[in-house]
Order: sequence, then C-alpha cells, then structure tokens
Amino acid sequence: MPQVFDEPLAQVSFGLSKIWPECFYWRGREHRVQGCCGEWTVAGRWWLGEGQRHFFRLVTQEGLTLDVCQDEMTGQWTLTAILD
Amino acid sequence: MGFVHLHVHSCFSLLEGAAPLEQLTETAAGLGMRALALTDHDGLYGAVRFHAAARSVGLKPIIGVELTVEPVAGTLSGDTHLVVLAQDNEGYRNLCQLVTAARLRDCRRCGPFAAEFQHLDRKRPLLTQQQLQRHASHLIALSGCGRGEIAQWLQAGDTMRAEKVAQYYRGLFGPGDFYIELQHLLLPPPQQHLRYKLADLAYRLGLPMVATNDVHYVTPDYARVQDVLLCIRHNKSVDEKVPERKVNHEYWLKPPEEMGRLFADLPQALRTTEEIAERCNWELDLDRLHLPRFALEAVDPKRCGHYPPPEPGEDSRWYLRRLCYAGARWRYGEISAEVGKRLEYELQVIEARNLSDYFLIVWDLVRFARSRGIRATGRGSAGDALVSYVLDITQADPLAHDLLFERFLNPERRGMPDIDVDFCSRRRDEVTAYVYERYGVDQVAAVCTLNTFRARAAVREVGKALGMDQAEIASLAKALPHMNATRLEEAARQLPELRDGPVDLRDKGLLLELCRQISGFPRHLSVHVGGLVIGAQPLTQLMPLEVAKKGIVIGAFDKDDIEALGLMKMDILGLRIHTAIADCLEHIATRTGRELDLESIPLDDAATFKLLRSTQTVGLFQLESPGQRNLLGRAQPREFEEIIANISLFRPGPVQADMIQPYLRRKHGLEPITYLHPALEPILRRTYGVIIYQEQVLQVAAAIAGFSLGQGDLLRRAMTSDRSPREMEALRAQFVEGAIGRGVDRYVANRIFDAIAGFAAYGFNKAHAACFGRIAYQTAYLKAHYPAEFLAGILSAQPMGFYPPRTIAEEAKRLGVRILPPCVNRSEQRFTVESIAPENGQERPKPVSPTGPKGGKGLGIRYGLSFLHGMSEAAVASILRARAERPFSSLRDFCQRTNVPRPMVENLILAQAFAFTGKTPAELLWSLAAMPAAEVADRRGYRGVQTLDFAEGECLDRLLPPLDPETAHGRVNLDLHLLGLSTGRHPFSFWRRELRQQGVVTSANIYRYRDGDRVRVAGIVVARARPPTRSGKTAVFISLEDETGLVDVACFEETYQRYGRIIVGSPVLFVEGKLVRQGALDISVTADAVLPLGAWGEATAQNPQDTVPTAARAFASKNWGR
Repeated sequence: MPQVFDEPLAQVSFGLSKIWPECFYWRGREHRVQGCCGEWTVAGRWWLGEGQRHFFRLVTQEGLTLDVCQDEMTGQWTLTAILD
Repeated sequence: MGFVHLHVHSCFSLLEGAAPLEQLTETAAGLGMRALALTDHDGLYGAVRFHAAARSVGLKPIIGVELTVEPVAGTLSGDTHLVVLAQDNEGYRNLCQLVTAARLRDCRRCGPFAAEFQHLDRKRPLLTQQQLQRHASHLIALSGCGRGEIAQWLQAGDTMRAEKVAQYYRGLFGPGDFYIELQHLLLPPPQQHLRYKLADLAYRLGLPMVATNDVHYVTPDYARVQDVLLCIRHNKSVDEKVPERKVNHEYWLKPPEEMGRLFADLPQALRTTEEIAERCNWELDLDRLHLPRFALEAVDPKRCGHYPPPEPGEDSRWYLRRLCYAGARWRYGEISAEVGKRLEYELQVIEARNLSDYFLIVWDLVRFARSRGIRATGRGSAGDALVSYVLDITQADPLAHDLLFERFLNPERRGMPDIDVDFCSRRRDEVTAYVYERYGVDQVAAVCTLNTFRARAAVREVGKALGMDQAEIASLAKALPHMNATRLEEAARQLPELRDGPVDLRDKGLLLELCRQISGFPRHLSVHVGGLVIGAQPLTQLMPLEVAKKGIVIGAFDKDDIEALGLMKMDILGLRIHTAIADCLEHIATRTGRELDLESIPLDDAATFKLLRSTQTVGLFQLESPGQRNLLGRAQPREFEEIIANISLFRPGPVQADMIQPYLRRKHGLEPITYLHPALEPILRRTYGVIIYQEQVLQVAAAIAGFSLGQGDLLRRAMTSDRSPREMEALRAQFVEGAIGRGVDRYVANRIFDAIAGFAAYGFNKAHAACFGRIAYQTAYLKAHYPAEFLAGILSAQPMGFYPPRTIAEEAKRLGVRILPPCVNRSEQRFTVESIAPENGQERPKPVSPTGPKGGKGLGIRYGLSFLHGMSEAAVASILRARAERPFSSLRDFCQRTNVPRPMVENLILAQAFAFTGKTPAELLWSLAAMPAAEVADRRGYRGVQTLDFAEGECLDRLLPPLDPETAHGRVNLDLHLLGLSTGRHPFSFWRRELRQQGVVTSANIYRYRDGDRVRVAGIVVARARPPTRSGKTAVFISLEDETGLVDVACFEETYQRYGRIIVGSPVLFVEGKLVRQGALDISVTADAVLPLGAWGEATAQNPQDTVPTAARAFASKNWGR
C-alpha cells in the first residue's frame, strides 16, 4: 500500500531529461533519482485558482519508489506518495 | 520527426471542442506541420471553413468525423466512438451519408415537416453498423479515443471481445485502412496503461498503429474553456461531476517534438500519421455551380398568368427569353430600344453564366404564390435586374430608378447571384411545401444557422456553469446590450447600465475572461429564417443533413458555406407586412366592395405624401421608426424617389458617415449643390450631389475613370472590404490613371476617388431600397386612405414593426378609429373593421390628430379573439363554429354550445366579450360561478392557461389602481392585461392632472414650444434605439407615448453616462430637457435628466394623499424655466 504524503520538496534540480527531477531534498535529506517510471497530470480546480499538477513516479538510487508532483501554476514541488 | 494530428476537434464539436478553426490551422502551420485533420463529433459543420483556412496557410486539409457508433461485440455502458477520415472525395460523400444516417436514423423524409422527426433524440446521434457497412468505402478508420469500442473492452479486461471488434473493423474497412489509435494523454495510472494494451493487441493482430492526441483546444490555456463548454453541455456546474470532463489539460495541439517525446517508445505510431496524411486527398469542388435543372415539362400552364407556357422541345434558355419578352410587353406595352437593349444584355450575361434555370426556378415560385393569392415581392440587389422586373419577381422599374444590373450580377465576378423573395408570412409554409414537392425531398433542405455565443448567452451560460447566483446572472445578462462577448470587459468599464448596475463586475474577472474566450463559438444549430438549399443531386452527396426543432430537416452547412460550394440557396422569407396588407385589402373589399390593386395605385398620391410629411407613420413599413419619422419630418418628401432616399439614408452607415445633413441642407436650398466634376451631375442630380447608393459608385467609376460597370462593382466591393493601404493605393492608381486618360484633372480624380472610397462602405443598395420603398409607399397609401383597415391588418400581424399593439391601438384612436372590445358574437379570429352607428345621440369620435388622415371616422377595429390572453386555437374554432349556426343569446347559451374552458370564459367576460347581454362583468362572473360544472368546459386539456395570470403584468400596474372592471382605471388595467391594449382611455390620462402640475407637456402640445425651450415630457417607452454614431459616442433615441401621441427623446453621451441604467432599463420615463426643432414637424427633446416614472407611480400608490410624488419632487426642486 502506498503511504500518502503532502510534503514540500526543496532544492529540486534537473538532469538531462529536463522533465523530471534528478535530485531533491525531502525532510532535509538529499535524494538522487535513478529513473522515472511514470508521468501523468491532473487538472486542479481552476475556477478556484488551482493549477494543473504534473506527477512523476521516480525511483531513487536508494531504491525508493515515490510520487512527486509540481504545481504548474506555483512551480512548487511536493512529495505525494511513497510506494512499497 | 514529422507528425500530423489526425484526431482533432474544433469548436464545431458543439459544446465540447474549444479550438477555433483559424487558430488551429495557423498554429499547425506555424509548428511546421504540412497537414491537419478535422474530426469533429458526428458532424462536418466546420468542413468548408476548415478547407479554406487550411489552404490559406498552406496546410493540406484532411476531413474526417468522430462517429458515435453502435457497439459490435456487446452492450457497453456509454457511447462508442470511431474516427473515420476521407481518403478522397468519394470518401467525403460517404462521410456525409454516414453523418446523415447517424442523425436522421431510420426516419424517412417525406416533406418539409415530418412528424416522426419530432420524436427523434436530436442530441444523441447514433450510427448503426448496418448503415456504416453501407458507406464504409474510401475511408480510413482509427479505433478512436478511450471511448472507442476496442479501448473500452480492453479497459474492461475483455481482450477477446476487443480482438473481435478489431478484426471486424479490419474486415469492414480493409486491412490497410484500419488503424489502432494510441494516445498518450498523461492520464493517471491505471488509465495510462491503455496504450500498451492497445499496442499489444495491434502487434498480435498485425494491425498498424497511429499516434493521436484527441485535440480539443489549441493551447493549454483553453482547457478551462473546454471544461466550461462540457459543463454547459451537460447542464452542470464546475463543482459537479460529469464523466465526460477531462482529467487533465493535455488535449491540446502539441508540437511534433512533444509528441515525439511522448511516443519515444513507439516511434512507428508517429510515422504512420504522415503516411495516412499522404493517402488522404480531399478537395472541395468550389469552382462549379451546382444548380438544379428547371423541369419545363412540370410547368403548370394555369399558373403562367400573362406568361406563355413552355413549348415542346424548348430549352430553359429559350424559354426564359420568351418569358422575359412577354413580361417586358406586359410591363411596358411597347418594347422600346432602351428596354430591348438592356434586356438582351442581361439575358446574354445570364446565359453565359448558365443561370437561366435559376431565374426560371424563382419565376416559377413567384407564379405559384400569385396563383394562390399569396403576396410575394423580391428584395435586395435582384431589383437591379430588368429580368427580375419583367418576370414579376421585383416590382420597382430598374430603368426608372437608375438601377444597374452589374450590381446584381457582375459579368466580371464569379459567384452565385442571390434572389431573395418575401412572401406573406402566414402562408410562407405553402411556398416551402411547393419547393419540396417540385424538386423532391432528397434535393431540398432548410439552410441552417449556426448560433454563436454572444455577450448575453455567454454570460448566462458561463455564469451558470461557474455556479454563480442565478438572479445575479439574469440581472447582468438583461442589462447587456446585444454585443460581441469579446467586448464585455470594455463594456463593463464604459456602459453605465453595467457599471452602475445591480451586479458588481469588479470581482467577475474569470467570468468576463471566459466569456471573451468563448465568444463566437458555435452553440447550436437552428433553422435559417427562410433559406432553402436546392441541390442538383441528392444533397447528401455534398453535405450532411440533420433535424432541427419542429421536425424540419436542415443542411448542416450555413448560408456562407452553401454559397462557397456553389449550391443554390433560395431565401423564402416571411414578411409580416405582406400579411398585414393582405388582411387590409380583405377588410377594404368587405366594407367597400372594392378590390384594390396596389400595383396600380398612383405613385404621386397627395394624401399619401401628406401623411408621410406629417410623420404620423406608425405602422408603416420601413418608415415608422423614431429615426425615420424624424427624417421624414425634416425631408418633407414629395415624390417616390425621396422615399427610396429616406430608406437608404437612415441606416447605420449613412448615419455614421453623416450623409443625412448635406442631403437635407442641399435639398432645402440651405447650401449649394456642387459637383466635383460636371460628369457627376447626371449621376448625382437626384440626390443633390451626395452619394447615397452603391449603384452611384459604379456609375461614377464608369463616368470618371472609364471603368465598365462590372469593374466599377469590383472597385466598390474592394473598397467595402478591409484593404491594406497598399491595396487601396493600387486601386487609386488604377482609378486616377483611367480618369486622366479621359481628360480629368489628377487632383479632381483623386478627390473623387476619396469621395467614393469614403462612401463605398456605407452606400446602400438602391434596388433594395426601391423594392422596400414600393411596399412602404403602399402601406402609406393604405394608412392615408383606409386607416382603420390598415391598422386592423397591422394588429392582426403582430408581433411586427417597432411598436407594441398598445401603441398601434392608440394611433388608431388618434385617427378617430375606435378600438372595440372583443365580442363573442362579432369578433372573428383576427382584428376586423366595423362601421359604428352613433349611439343615442352620442357623437362619433373625432380624430385627435390635427394632421392625420380622416378616413377612419365612423369606423372601429374589433378585437380578434385569438389575440385575447390565454385563448387557444381550439377555443376560437369552437366559438366560430357554434356562432355560425346562430348568435349566442346569453352566457349560458355560450357555455352550453362551445368547449371554451372556464378560465377562458372568465377572461372573455372581463374583456367585455359578453357586453351584448347588458350585464356587468361582475354579474356575469357570478353567473358563471353558479353555473353547473356540466355546462362549462373545465380546464383539462388546456394546461398552461391560468385564470387572470397577471404575473407578467407590466410596470403599468404600478401606475394604475387594482384591477376592477367597474372603474375606469380598472378597465384600462384589465384591457392591458387581457388584450395588450386599451379599448378606452390611455393609462397616462389618469395622471395628467399631476403631470400638468409638474409642468409636463403632452406630446400633442409640444408643437407649441420653440427651439431651445426647456420642457418636461413623460410617457411609456415604445421604442428605444442605440445606433452607432460617427464620433463613437453613445446616443440613445427613445420614443415616449402618452395619451396624445409620441414624442422622441435623444439622450447623448453625458446624459447616458449619468442616467444610463434608467434610460436602458425603465419602461416608463419622466424626462427633462431642451426642445430641438428642425422643421415644422420634426421635434424632439434632448434629455438632461431622466427619471423612472414607475417609481413615481409606486410612491403615489403607497400614499394616495401624496399628490406630488417623490420622484416628481426631485424634478420640482430643480431650477428650470422656459
């Protein structure tokens, strides 16, 4: 079962893909991304000023599979889930 | 890598797609694509425009449809979609057949109105597999989006059925013509795995794959527009769930690079898009006219009248010639050299363009109408042709009025001429039915109109979708003028009725922005007012057909598309004035026994011109608007040619270009009549040197620059459309060059060019004005000589014209004609005219108007039964049927012998329809109440009719005391509610004493005041216009009606900015301002202050002792004097 989160990511940087993050900090720890195994977007409630969120399913070098998303309006990155 | 979008929805996927066609094609071309497909849902509405838009930017257009089809392998919960693309023109024809089959289902067409169509679910087109099989050739099919049947079975986990469907479609379309469609729309898991399942199936079955993006908008910022459209479609708000709404905003026209990234793992699906684009070669045939053949053998000699019937073996060209020469002899007696030369020239042009059949079709239609006694007249530029005149299609002599054939049919310009014919609106359906019968139901359909989102509709629908307060939205929409939604934000800042209105627009940014984005999007199809398309072959070869409301079959292309395709469109328009005239002639014949022939009345009738000069033109065709009345007063016309000028001058263009002032000043000798060149004098003499008509532009170009009239028309058209400065300079050079060659000075030639360039855009088609002028003159003649009969006709033809029935009735009273209440023993279905004998020494009513016609004395207009509030057709028929046996002797007798429901009987009683019994309405109501149920029909079967339903009552309620038939006030109020007019006093007469105390002048007395005097006027608003002005500032012209007549009020920018909300929104006004007098009978008031009189009435009603109401006090406190 995935663990659900809603926590901001910091210092998100990109590699060659320029699409998904290569490295980010969560809870003060650096996480390096090995690959991306999924990508999707979900529209927000635009009439309330919410932007579309762009999700990536990333696998870190430590072997964690997690879902992160970026709010296309604010640019804010968030960790939304960690999958077993 | 190259990529072509093959699954694209434009805004012609009604209430779903949010991509304007031009934006689609321009963006695709900008992204370097060489082709683009259009695949709207179950329709080809955008096909013609898409073809033109794509070609204009160098794109190859591919036409297709996303069809809603019957599932192949079993029942699914929702619709199933399939995308089909036309490989060639044969494929396009099959698309038309498929869309028609999906929309008309199994219904058979058997005439203009088929009853079975009325039960068709128009919102849910569905194509059966049987129909698909019939027209599956020359098409390439894609398996569709997530709603495709294969995708749906795969999502349901039923691979077997998915494969069965895929194999079926491969068999149906052919192995190389069926593709599995893959989309990567970044959907959340598990939906995003669908494309792998589809790819897997394609590999297993050896089917080719193609990548698409199910485009619904061009750029992501239109995703919310698409979302709103879907909410509107499903009548939901954005907070509610709609399964069809998209999960994300990825359905845009992605560039090839982005598609390449998304399909990096399946590059062959991208390559396939280009292969398919290569295989699709569709072109619309825009170079040929597709005119139907006129079957000479079907001409009915009995309908030919004074025209000869066709002879055996004769062709349409020769027959048209014979008809024209016979018509010319009928019109002119002898065919003079001038007539012969002009006729021969026109016939040669018509023959060279293969248009003989077209003219015969129109002639035949008019003959049909004449043979049935249906009034019919041609309008528009068709009046420029002598051929139209001699064929009895138009009624104004082109030679007498300097009308030019080239303005109608330019030999130097391709294109289909357009002959519009107006018929009596009550009998228009008979003419339509004849067209279907004559040309076959397969070849005739009504033309559709694409209704687009404008400001009001956009605000209403977007506001509702955003979940805004309904009352707020309704109030805002009501306050909006008819305008484009793109101008909403600007209007919210500038228009006082919005700025100071009940809705605060400052926090409505999202609403206004969405309305701007949605502006101009097609919303739904409706039936064009009178257009019929007549094909040379079954119409489904060229366009899809569908059903509009009321069961009428329409072609799915609008009039512009039909013209572009070279199809014949006939405008069979219903004109209510014809209905009114027909009724009027009938009344005249009944009363006087005289069969008046309006085509032979003198065009210089003194009484008619006297009426026109008096400006008492309420009810007249084209000459009754406040602006026209004002112009008539200033122009004081004395000949028919001036009526044509008046009709042409009071148009937005001439008003904006300020052509009226110089025309009038020169006409009245207040400024000299000058011409820039002597050669212009014969052309402009009749209009005092002012260019008014389009025909004059052609003549000037011919006389000065040596252009042919056809070239002159091209010049006029070029000047009318938007031209770049460079193009205008090229036209100028050509004109000036020609002029110099004819000895005209360069400076003068340039000035003449400037003059016609300035007027070309505004000039009016004289032929149209002449055609309408004839009818206008006829109505003036009828009103001058037979006011009672004429106004009875106008009342029966309501709604029409500028004024409500109440105003027409008041006009009748002013002319000495009494308005008689309905009577069950005397009233007919429509208004009729009765002679009134003086009652017991009472004098006949005298005309109030000092200048009006006197022919109404001793006559009354009897109210028509079918116009009574709540009256049904069945009830009227029942009354007339019973009365034909013998007159009703009492209320009981009436109730026993008719099936009129009780609520309607109550209305009849209150409207005085039983006055002949000698009992009061109260007594009769008591009698009715006491009558046994078995003797009066109940209300069952007449649902919707309520007893005394005054909910829709006007604000006049507030001016008048409660409904009480026993008092004069109550009588008027009841009349207004039940009859829509007052049979007795005008409501304002009850307030005259108070109004006089406030210095309010009646409209009859205003003539006593001088130019510049300060006056106060008050009345009911009967007409309100906001024409464009030359300065761009706002001017609102209002006609106020009191018990003595009409007074015109002008509210200019400053007043409008201050009182805009009242001026636009209040139905009864109290105005203070300056009197402007420009002629003996041209009087108006320029308003400084405007108050809603309703507020005054309300205040008084609450406090009857208050003889000086609050609003009036506000006026009284101001310093003013005269």
